Amino acid sequence: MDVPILKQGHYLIASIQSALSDADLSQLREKLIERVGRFRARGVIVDVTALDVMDSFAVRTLRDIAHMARLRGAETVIVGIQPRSPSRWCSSG
Amino acid sequence: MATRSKERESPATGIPVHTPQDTAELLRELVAHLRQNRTELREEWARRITRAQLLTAMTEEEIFAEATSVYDNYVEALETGTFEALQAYARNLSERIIPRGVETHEVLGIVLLLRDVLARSLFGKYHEDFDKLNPILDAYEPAANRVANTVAVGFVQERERIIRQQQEAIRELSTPVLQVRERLLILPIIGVIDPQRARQLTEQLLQAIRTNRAKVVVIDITGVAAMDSNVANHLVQTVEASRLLGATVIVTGLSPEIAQTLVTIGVDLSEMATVGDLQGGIEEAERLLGYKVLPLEELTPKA
Repeated sequence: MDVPILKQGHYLIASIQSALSDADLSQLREKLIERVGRFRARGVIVDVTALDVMDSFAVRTLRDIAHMARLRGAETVIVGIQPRSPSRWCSSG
Repeated sequence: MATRSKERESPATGIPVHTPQDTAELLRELVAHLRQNRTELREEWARRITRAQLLTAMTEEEIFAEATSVYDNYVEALETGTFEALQAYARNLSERIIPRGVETHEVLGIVLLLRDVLARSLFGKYHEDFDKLNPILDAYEPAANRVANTVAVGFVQERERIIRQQQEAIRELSTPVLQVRERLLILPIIGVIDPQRARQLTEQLLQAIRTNRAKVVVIDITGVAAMDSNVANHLVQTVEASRLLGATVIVTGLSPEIAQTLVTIGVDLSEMATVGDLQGGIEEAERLLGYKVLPLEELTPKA
């Protein structure tokens, strides 16, 4: 399942449409990091509304995306976290 | 001729069986023989070099010309027992042929070939007079070995000198610290960063911060292909040290691969300001310094 990445001004928007496999998540990470450089993006918005459950791999990947994007010069905002998942975010740092 | 007078005085040493006078006498005979057959031996040698496919980087005429001068120097070294001239020649030769891609084994090969050719010719001359052949070889071999040694060592030394010189040049070149605006420095890093280079880089940067009274430094690592935790930690330390000297550091141009590695190995980079590319880094630095870059039309009042 490919995640579309939209470019809006200086920002990139990745809107996740459905549950993602680990491979999809890794691919999303690579694509986002590459595009941050290519489009000189200042910010990345990742919309995770469609993800009902987030396993620890997803949480870690999203965190990695935020860190890597920061290194490449963009801030990351993650929107639409379901009420059930924040506990996992806290437990996995 | 200077060599003529030297010839009588210089005894070759290190041959236990004969007295120095004997050896000198024999060497003189030997040299006379080599002089006499100069043309044939030289040609034979050049032929052998070509046959052995050595010095493929050079044309046949060049090989022959070099062979001639090596031969003359060789004979002279045998004759005088002094190797300074040969050493100088070997160095000079190496200087000329190393840039053309001549390998160490080729140089060794041709010197040994010359030794073989000459020994062969001595065998040919004295094969009926075995009592003479032995002392002649006794006199010839140590001298010839020393000659071969001198040339080979000269070549290797020249090589090492070139390598040292280039390392020096790379070290000098590798870390230019450039000033782009008043109190703004750029440090572009290209290539592999090893611990030694990282240390030198830090030193030069801190020095430059001091002399230029820099307030902002942009370190651009677009040209760095990979980074391990040691180098990353060193970079963090450099940033810290710069901060102590009063300069803010902005790191730019992290490739996706480096970004992934750094996050994966978990280097703490929270203290480091990073911007996507050099352009962004300079813009950010200008903002920090209070510069604003405008197109010319906006500056000149419209008439």
